[in-house]
Order: sequence, then C-alpha cells, then structure tokens
Amino acid sequence: MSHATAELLSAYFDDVLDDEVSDALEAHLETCPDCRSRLGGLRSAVAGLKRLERMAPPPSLDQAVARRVAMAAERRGFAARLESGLDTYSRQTSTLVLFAVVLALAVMAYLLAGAVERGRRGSIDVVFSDDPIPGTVVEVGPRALVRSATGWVERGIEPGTIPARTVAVGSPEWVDVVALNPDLAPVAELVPALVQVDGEVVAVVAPSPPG
Amino acid sequence: MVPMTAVESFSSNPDLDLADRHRYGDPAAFDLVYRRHVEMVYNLALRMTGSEVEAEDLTQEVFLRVHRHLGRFKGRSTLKTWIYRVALNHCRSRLGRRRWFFLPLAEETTDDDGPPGAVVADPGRGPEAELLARDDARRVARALRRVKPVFRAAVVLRDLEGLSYEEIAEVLGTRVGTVRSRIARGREQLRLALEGPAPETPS
Repeated sequence: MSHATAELLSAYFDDVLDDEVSDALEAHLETCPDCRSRLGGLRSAVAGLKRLERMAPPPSLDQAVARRVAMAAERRGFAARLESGLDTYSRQTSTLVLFAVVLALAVMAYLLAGAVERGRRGSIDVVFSDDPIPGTVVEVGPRALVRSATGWVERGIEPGTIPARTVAVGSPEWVDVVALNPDLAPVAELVPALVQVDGEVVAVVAPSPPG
Repeated sequence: MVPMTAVESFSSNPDLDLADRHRYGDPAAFDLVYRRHVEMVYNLALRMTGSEVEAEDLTQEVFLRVHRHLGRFKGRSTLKTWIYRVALNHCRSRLGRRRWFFLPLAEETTDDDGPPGAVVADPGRGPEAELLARDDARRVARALRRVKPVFRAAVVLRDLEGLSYEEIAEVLGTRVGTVRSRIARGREQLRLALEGPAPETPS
C-alpha cells in the first residue's frame, strides 16, 4: 500500500479498523520508517494529552452559578423555588439573610410599581416554562400548593371550594394580607390561587387592569 | 382529585428521573447534575478557550442554560452528552464561526502559555523530574491550542474526556465517520505542533 493517511493511523490507534485493513497496515509499517515515525508521533502526542491534569474549577464557581441561577429563576417568577434552591447551595446564614432581603425587595417592588406591573402582566402568570402538570406541587414557605386544572390550590383545601373572599395582587387588601402573612408574598407569582388565610379560604387573583 | 407528591420517580432512567424531579421543583436534582458535570464542562471550556477566566464564565453560562432546560430533557441522549453539547455550542458561539474553523494566524503563532499545563501528580518523581514533567505538560497544552477548534473539540472529547466515537457523534451532532476524520486531523495537527517543522506528510 502507499503511505498511511493520518486518518488510517488514527483509526488504527483507536483499534477501530477491520482486521484486514489493520493487517495490511501492520505489514506496511514493518517496511516503512516514515509511517512508523508518524504513528510513534501520534502515540506520543496522545500520551502527552493524557498526562495533562484535569483542572479543578475555581472555588468561586459554585457560588457564582448558584447566584446566577437564582437571579434568572427569580426573573422568571420562581420565588418559591428560590428559597429551597439557596438552602441547597449554601449553609451560611448570610445567604439566608440575602434571600430575605431579596424577597423583601421583591414585595416592595410590587407595592411601589403597581400600575406599571399591572399593565405589563397578563391575566395568568405561568411559573414553569411548560404548563405545569396538574398534581405538580410547589412549596411556598410552610405551605404546599398543588396545581389543579386552572390554578394552584393549597393542600388541604378542596378544589372547587368557594372562597370567602377574593384578593387581587397589588390591591390594598393584598398589602394587608402580606403584611400579616409575609410567607404568602410568593403566591403573587402563582395566581390564580386558593390559600388559607386566618382560617378562611381566600382566592388570590392577578392584579386588575388599571382604569 | 388527589394531588400527587412531587418526588415519585417515573422511570428506570436515572437521567430522566433527575429531569422530572427538576421539573417538579426539586432543587437537589439540579444540584446533583451540577456537581456531576461541572469539572467536565470546566475542563472542556478551558481547553477550547485557552483561558481560565473565559472557562469560568462559560461554565456559568452553560449551567444557567442547563438549569433552564433540564426540565425539557427527554432522554434521547444521556445527560452527559447533552451537557457536553450545550457546552460545546457555547464554546463555538463564543469563538465565532470563522475562528471555529480557521485559527487566525496570530493565535497559531502565539507563544504565551495559555491554560496551565498542570501535570498528573507522581509522588515518586524527584524535583527535577517534576519540573521537566510540568514543562512537558505546558508544551502539550500550548500545542493543543494550535489545533483548529473544530478538530480540537473532537480530540479533547476523545483523548481528554474519554468519550466513545458514538458519544462524540451525539455531542457534535454529526456522523461517526465525520468524528473519525476530525479526531484524526486534530491529532495530526497536535503531532505536528509538538514535533515542530516536520518532514512532508505523505497524503
């Protein structure tokens, strides 16, 4: 055969050649110092690569990823998931304090930016990038909200229960509810929802359009 | 209607289980995926970009994307090859299409060290041998940077990450034949870079 191509030598090195081709190559190699040298060079190059140590990622990377993931999730309205996500990534209380600050800021943003927020949102906020499958459970603080066909229902409430009252996110009633029950703030992202507040079933709905 | 709890597993495919758990809001699922694959992604990014800083930035972006899309993972490939694919796509767009296929002359002749040529530890090695080994590793790392990225990716996946031809085909989205060819050309460029100006390669 004529000289071996780089591809042939590489395939031979990986032991993926058919026996016949492999035999023919070996026969050629016995008589061809150039090709032997190239095969040797190939072996040497790959061996050099294998001696390179796997680098450990820098220690700052874990925190950076956790932070960016949390920020992106919050932008998409994952306030409920944020809480357990940060717990997983860091045990430090400083991170929990950061979360509390972020949540407080998020609540403040709702209160302060009312009209703009209302205009921007549609009537139903989708929490997940796909429609959540009925039965999906999301934890909001100590509460568990279960996805029904049309909204979220706090575990313990029979879906279809007529609420004692309806509260729109951003309204003065909502402000009161959240002031007395701060753990309910993330429910603003999960409207429409049925939750227990002070012993009664309350429907939380999207902010009403202005005017 | 009886609400399901979120953490039942639905299949015997552990990758799909993780995707399901992630979709149902279990943060431990992504945590596990991250820990299993972060070193792999970081090293790929390091060898493809030649910079620790870029590799760290790229790794963050990759896992941001993984977090966003993990819920949609359908199990047609493995999580490993899917994540490699995301990582390589990010490397490719960062480098830009032209540089992916054609290294600009400046980079081909660069003398700077690029990523550290850290060498696998060997406690039996004396200090002189250690220095030689590190020097050799630096040389290899530098030579690798002179391989065109499109071929370098195949070589890194094969010889550094240890993937099979089929896995690499999945990662690159090409046929096994193309993988063979890219690995071969990458190794050839590496060999030439290591040997210096070489006798003419017969075709």
